[in-house]
Amino acid sequence: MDFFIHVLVIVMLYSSLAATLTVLVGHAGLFAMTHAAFYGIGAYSTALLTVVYDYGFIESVIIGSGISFFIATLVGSAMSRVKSEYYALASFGFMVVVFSILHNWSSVTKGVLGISGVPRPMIGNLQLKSDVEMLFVATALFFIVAAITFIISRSHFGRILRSIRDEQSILPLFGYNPAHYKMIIFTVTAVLVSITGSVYASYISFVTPSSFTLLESIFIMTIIILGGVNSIRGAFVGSLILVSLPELLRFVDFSIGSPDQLRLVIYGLVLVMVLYFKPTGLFGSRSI
Amino acid sequence: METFIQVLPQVLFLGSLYSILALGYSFLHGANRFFDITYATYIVVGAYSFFVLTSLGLPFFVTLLLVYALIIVCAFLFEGVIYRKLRARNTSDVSLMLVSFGLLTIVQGVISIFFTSNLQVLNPSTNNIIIGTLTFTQTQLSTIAILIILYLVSYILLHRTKFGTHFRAISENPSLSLSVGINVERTRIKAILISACVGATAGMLFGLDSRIYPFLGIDLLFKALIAAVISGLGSPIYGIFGGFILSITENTFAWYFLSEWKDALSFVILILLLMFRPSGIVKK
Repeated sequence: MDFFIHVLVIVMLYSSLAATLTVLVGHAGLFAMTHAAFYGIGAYSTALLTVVYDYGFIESVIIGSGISFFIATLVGSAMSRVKSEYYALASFGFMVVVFSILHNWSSVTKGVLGISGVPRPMIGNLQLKSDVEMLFVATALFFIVAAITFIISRSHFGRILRSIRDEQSILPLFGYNPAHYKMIIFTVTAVLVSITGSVYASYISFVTPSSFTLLESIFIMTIIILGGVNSIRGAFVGSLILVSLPELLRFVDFSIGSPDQLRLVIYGLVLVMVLYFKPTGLFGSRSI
Repeated sequence: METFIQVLPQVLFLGSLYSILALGYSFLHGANRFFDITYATYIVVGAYSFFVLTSLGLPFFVTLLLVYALIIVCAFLFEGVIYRKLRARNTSDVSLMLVSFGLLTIVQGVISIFFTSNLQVLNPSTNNIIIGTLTFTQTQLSTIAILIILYLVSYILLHRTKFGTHFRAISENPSLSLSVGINVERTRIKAILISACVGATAGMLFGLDSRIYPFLGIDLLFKALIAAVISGLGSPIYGIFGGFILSITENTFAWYFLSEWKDALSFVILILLLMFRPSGIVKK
């Protein structure tokens, strides 16, 4: 049962990440592979601030979001200068740079060893402890993120994002600056992802750089491709399937390969199969 | 400064390797126009099949032939089965890139299952060749030699043969090439085969120099990409500049500053280039 709760928490966290990515990729058409970077920044901020500097959880979330916001403005403005065909490559680049920083700046991030002992959140006077309580937090976070995503997609802002995706060149004719909107959505999603990262850190109680690699960003991308790039429902279902499948495989005794290695094969297969057979994903209305 | 000279063989070796990688990638990019991550698959399959076949104790040239045969089969498999269908459906470039990445992930996963995720060491001959004050391993010298040969061959291929003209045409404008009567499909396939074999060669060379591991493909692909972007994506021949610039920059930085940040530096260079000069350093 405990294991089941644990898997659900992870599912909810990834659903939040995937939901934010649906706006970025599905609506705005920005193929940004930088999600894991901000996830990591949020997680590491909370980890460092609560463990080393004795901050409270909420403060660490706010500071972490602030750092992510700042970095997102830098990265976002750099990326908006890159032509659309190189956008993905540039975002790969940023992802690797952020990972290198987390990995190599050992004096601050403790490098490969990571930071452990991150406490569960203390909100006001309420100390959250159990996994079930964290499940509530993660689910609540998902609902908030999903709500924000939903509102954005149905709003005028969302319509502008979709025109960035479809026909960016006409926007200036109507008086909208695409770079401006790309920046906004990039920073907003970065902050949401960072908050999710903070929750992750305090749930798992330790952070290492290896959780925040390019592969991680691609994993989140796979989730939304499976679920449908512009569907929030898809973000949840995709996350449910892709997170729980490898965990379930732990119980099946495979004589070949470890769960981690099989996980790679599964993700690759899902990616290829979905794009080959059903490019719109389970619930999406557009293919990528 | 004396000790830096000792690193020179490595710098030259890596420069040659990166240039070879960039060359192979340019052929693929000209044929496929999207960021085809299949190149990484060719690299890693080449490296591992070489490893397996070498441990069987076959003569060297037989091993090479078998590796290339396998790579060619893979290329036909990937292109024919998967990409053709997707291209017919007008899939976006991003989706194609993702599919190629999915393929690589599957291959990486399968390789880690059968060979473990750890490093495997090939056993190269340990004859060191000394030129002046520098000591080269046989692999390093061979790589430099292979680079020179490959470049000469590529130059002749691209500028003195019909295939070369066709290839340069389709890498600039496929639809116009088609209307002029060039057999785009056939040229593409030839280019892809060249690219796959070059990539596999690079994988083998790298493996002979250090070691192989499942993620070798994507690491070397990034090097190829950075080298190719430095020199300008469209031109296979200029890739040589990119390769050496990358190698020199990386190693100088690693030598005088901090070696762990080497990769981050390469990517920062990439990002700056993509932002300010995506057509590369060489003026077209």
